[in-house]
Amino acid sequence: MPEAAPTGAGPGRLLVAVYALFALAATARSAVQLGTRFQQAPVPYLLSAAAAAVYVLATIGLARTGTTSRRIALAACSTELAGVLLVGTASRSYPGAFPDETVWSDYGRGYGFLPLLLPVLGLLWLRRTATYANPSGFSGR
Amino acid sequence: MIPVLETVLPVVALALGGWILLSALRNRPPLVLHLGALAAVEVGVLLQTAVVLAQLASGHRPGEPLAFACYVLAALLIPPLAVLWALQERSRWSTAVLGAACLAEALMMVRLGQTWRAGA
Repeated sequence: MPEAAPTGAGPGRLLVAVYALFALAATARSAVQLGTRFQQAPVPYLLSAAAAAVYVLATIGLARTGTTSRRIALAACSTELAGVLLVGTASRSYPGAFPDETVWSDYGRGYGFLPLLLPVLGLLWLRRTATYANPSGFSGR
Repeated sequence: MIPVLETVLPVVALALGGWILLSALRNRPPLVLHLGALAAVEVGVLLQTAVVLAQLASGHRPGEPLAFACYVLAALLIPPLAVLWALQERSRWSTAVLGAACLAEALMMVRLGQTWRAGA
């Protein structure tokens, strides 16, 4: 069985960088929300924290090489896609329940819809590196 | 905050980011010139941070202290982390990482000003 190509090489380099940026942004945002206004809207703010954790896991999973990392990345990207779709739909249907924006509110509109695009790119990239030769020609070790 | 820097830094970071992304589109690996651009952005951020520290010492307070601190930290960390990550592979994609970092810096600079003046 051919070994899967590393996910942090070639286009994956940029993907990991953007994921890292979102991990940073989501973590900082949720820290500020939980630290200053937790009482106002506990549910969306806890969702923000969950989103931050998902971005951190996706970044690590994609940046590292190996079967375990690939599984972590797959789980994180899938959770992220489900999260952005669920929270996006919920925030549109029940705007009152989301007084302050989370990363995933309104399908990530506050972040240029990148939160909706990223998990799709991540999943496509995971599929591509699982079956194709590494486009950058790196051995990955 | 130095008002001039507050306006100039995001614009410069945006322009440098655009130029670096253009280099990536033209299939260039990261060049010393690109690294110089990120160094220049970092120097600008350091300068602004020094001024902010001085203003904090003399009693000024940002409108949203916690958010402001996060943006300062992010703005300081993004360029060196991007360079470290980009230098591990010499490809156009690493160049794109440097360009994206510059764009992110422009955003950090804008938010820095907003959270400093918030509520004032």
